[in-house]
Amino acid sequence: MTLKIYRPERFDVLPAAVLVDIDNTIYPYEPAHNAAMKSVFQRVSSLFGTASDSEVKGAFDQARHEVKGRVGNTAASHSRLLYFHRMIELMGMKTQIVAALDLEQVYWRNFLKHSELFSGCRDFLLELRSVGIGLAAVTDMTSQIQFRKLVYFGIDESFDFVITSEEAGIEKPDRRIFQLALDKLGCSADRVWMIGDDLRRDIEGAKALGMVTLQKTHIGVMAGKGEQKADAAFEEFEVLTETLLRGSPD
Amino acid sequence: MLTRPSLVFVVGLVLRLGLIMAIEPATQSHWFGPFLSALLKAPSFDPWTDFLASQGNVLAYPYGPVMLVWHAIGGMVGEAIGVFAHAIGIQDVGAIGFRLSLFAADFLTLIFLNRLFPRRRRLLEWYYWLSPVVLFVTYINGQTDIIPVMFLVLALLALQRMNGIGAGLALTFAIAAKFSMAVVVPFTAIYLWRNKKLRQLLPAFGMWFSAGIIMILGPCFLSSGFRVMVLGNREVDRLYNLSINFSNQISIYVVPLLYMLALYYFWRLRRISHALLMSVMGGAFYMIVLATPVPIGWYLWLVPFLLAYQFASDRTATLLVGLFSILVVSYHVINSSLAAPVWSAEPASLTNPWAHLFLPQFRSLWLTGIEAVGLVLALRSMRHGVYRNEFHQIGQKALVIGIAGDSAVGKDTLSQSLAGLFGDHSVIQISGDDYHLWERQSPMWSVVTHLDPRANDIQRLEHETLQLLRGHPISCRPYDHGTGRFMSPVSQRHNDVIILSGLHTLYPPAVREMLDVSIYLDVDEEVRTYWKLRRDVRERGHSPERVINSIEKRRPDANRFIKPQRDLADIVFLIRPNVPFVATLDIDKPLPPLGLQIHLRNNISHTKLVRFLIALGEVSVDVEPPENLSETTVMIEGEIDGRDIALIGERLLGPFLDFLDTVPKWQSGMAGVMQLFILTYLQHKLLPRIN
Repeated sequence: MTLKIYRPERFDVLPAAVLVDIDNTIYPYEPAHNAAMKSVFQRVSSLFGTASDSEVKGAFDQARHEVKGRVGNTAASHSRLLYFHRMIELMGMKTQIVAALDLEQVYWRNFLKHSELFSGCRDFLLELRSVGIGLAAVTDMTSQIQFRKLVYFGIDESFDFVITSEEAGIEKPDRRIFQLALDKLGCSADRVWMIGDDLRRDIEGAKALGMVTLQKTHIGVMAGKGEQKADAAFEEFEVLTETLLRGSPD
Repeated sequence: MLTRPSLVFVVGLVLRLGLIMAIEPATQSHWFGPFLSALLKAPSFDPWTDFLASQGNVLAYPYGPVMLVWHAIGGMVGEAIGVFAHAIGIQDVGAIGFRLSLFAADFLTLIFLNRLFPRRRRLLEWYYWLSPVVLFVTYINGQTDIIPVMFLVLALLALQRMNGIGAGLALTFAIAAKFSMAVVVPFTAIYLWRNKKLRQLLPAFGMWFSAGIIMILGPCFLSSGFRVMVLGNREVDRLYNLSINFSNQISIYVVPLLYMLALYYFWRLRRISHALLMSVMGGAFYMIVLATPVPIGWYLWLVPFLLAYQFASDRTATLLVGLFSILVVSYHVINSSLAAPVWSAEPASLTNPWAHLFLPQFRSLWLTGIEAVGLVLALRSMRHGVYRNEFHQIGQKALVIGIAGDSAVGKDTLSQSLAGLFGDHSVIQISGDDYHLWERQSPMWSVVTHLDPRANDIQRLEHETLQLLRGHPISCRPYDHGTGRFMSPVSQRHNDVIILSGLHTLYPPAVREMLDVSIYLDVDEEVRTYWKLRRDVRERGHSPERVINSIEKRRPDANRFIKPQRDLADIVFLIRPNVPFVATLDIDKPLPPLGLQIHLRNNISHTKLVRFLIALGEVSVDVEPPENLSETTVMIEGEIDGRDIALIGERLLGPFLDFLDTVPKWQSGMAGVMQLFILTYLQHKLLPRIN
């Protein structure tokens, strides 16, 4: 059970609301993505024949790079449909509308099948509810798939608001997306916790507005150092519930 | 997935490595050690005979070849360490290799348990990795049972993953490591036989198991030393210790008796899930351990089953298991052989250094305490594992599903799609057509239609359904739609799922009472006319006018005898066009997209399913809440892929999935939606039955 509090004074009072990132914060992203890509490789080889996994992966990485470069910091930069669409083109097959749609579905279906909330996360969200703390998700992604994830996890009812970069028109760490969340919640920044895994997008972005920041760390997540550090860092949600919500943080 | 090791894990690891380096158990100095060093000095294919020939202790090594290979590898690693240590001036550390081989098995057991009990990693570290029984037995008393236990856990894991070959091989290895593991084989065989969806694994299991036993143990039986040291091992005699004197020189052995009763009980469970297998097999182990003066190594065999019980139960379970472990370990601290520091000149004694300090009465009392807590644990875990097991409670009675509806609405298709979920091996489908009174040529059909209940032997339907439910076979007379004649009777055996479909399934009250779910299947009249026209005109060459005529002729009877069943059903499915549609004689006109309207009775909760359909299936769903708590109407439009249906089903049904086939056949489109609604209904209706 690890919880490191770097600035205890910021936790003297309970927050009015909590903002939480979705991907890789409430569930581990890598295993789901890897399983989904595996199914995509299988589907590609049944659709287009012989291409090897590494060729397909090369085309996919290239496609993602191009899409991100072209659409910049918007939700569309995460669109699997655009990645697969471009990937197929890069594989020399021009635009294949049905195949791109199919791969997108295969990807997300298998992604969901292999995603599982971090242990203690559901209870943490319920606990927030029960002590009357507002809750919003702030996420860089298209709304369609983020909404689906929340329903799949069965936690959609726990959120007062969901703010996606698609509706904000800009991604984290831009202050506008955080501001949109604050406006919806009707809270001032210093009474809000931001929980996320990404130092730049989640922690730095929320700090700029004066929010209390908590970094969710696990293997594969870069922990903050020095000035970068969040106000607190934790590995398991259980410890957040136990220490910060129920007990005193000392 | 790799994560950072937790503090608990590190503590357990340090404890283990510390014990391995610091102490040598007496069992190893006196028995296993000499045997192994004799083998390593003079490698042999028959070390048992050679060891006895060189005046070795007959008790030294009562284990089979798999244990021997495992230990020998450890021994060789130990020798290498010894040579290295000697070079830097440390003497006599070779024996550490043996203990490292136990550590390897211990660590692998943790990994396999982690797979067997997914998402229990943290608790496993507490309950297994820090278990006093595991630590004492393996590192202080120095028993090697952790190796067969590792293979046992592997076999349970293979069974859970439905891998027959893996289970057969793992059990072979467990037995070839320690002969007494053979007690689990009958349980495994019964499990695979009685669970119909697993029966297909039985040949692979049997073949690999027997081949393994013949290949690995067969040659050993030729060794006289093996026969004396392993088969003649005194542990086996302990099974006969507890006996009731029957008459002069003849006794009844209690443990074999209880074991046979346990096997019969297990057989009687009818349908067995993996959790039930764990519970009952665990119960048998409790019995052996509690009813015989077994050496402490056998307590290790209980560990996987104690874990399953702890995970399934509450805090009391953890307390009881903790108490049990402490009582067992403390009893053996004053009764069994212990270990000596590696640096001491004398090895530890095979007798306990403190045993003489305690009166026999005190020790008996202590053992009685262990028996008491052990029995409470056994009873509690049976109650939890078997009597509170959902699968057991629901599985005692066959599931009965009834489908009614007019002709050509897709009753048989729905029945087949449900059979695909449960698996054909577990389902018996009864068609109402088999209960027509007359063959097609009969003049009676000119006065009554098939839709008239009087044209059908409803009483026989009632009687035979009841027979099936009671587990008796029935003799069916299938109706051949091709010739319009009855075929010769076939015997149908009862099965786990009974699906009745026909024109009058919901008509007789006695049948309705037996149904777990009653379904009325309906199709919009215009669509049904269109389907019938297309089929009869195209495939059977009838004129369109004649088809329309026959539909009209049957309409009064349909309204009188078939339609009223709609109000008796738990679920009504109506397939209807999404836009207004009128059937005309033009059969080339395309049909508009079809939607599904569902009426749900009894306020079965459907909210979760509806949310998943919207979010994961991306279909449009419209729910009309019930008036007067009577009937909820759900309207569904759109395309949905079978793989999305599967994703929703897996997410929605949880433990109920145990009732479905290993790979359930989920349908695409509205057929898949019907599958989901029916299963949701069954799940909600049956689960509250559990007390």
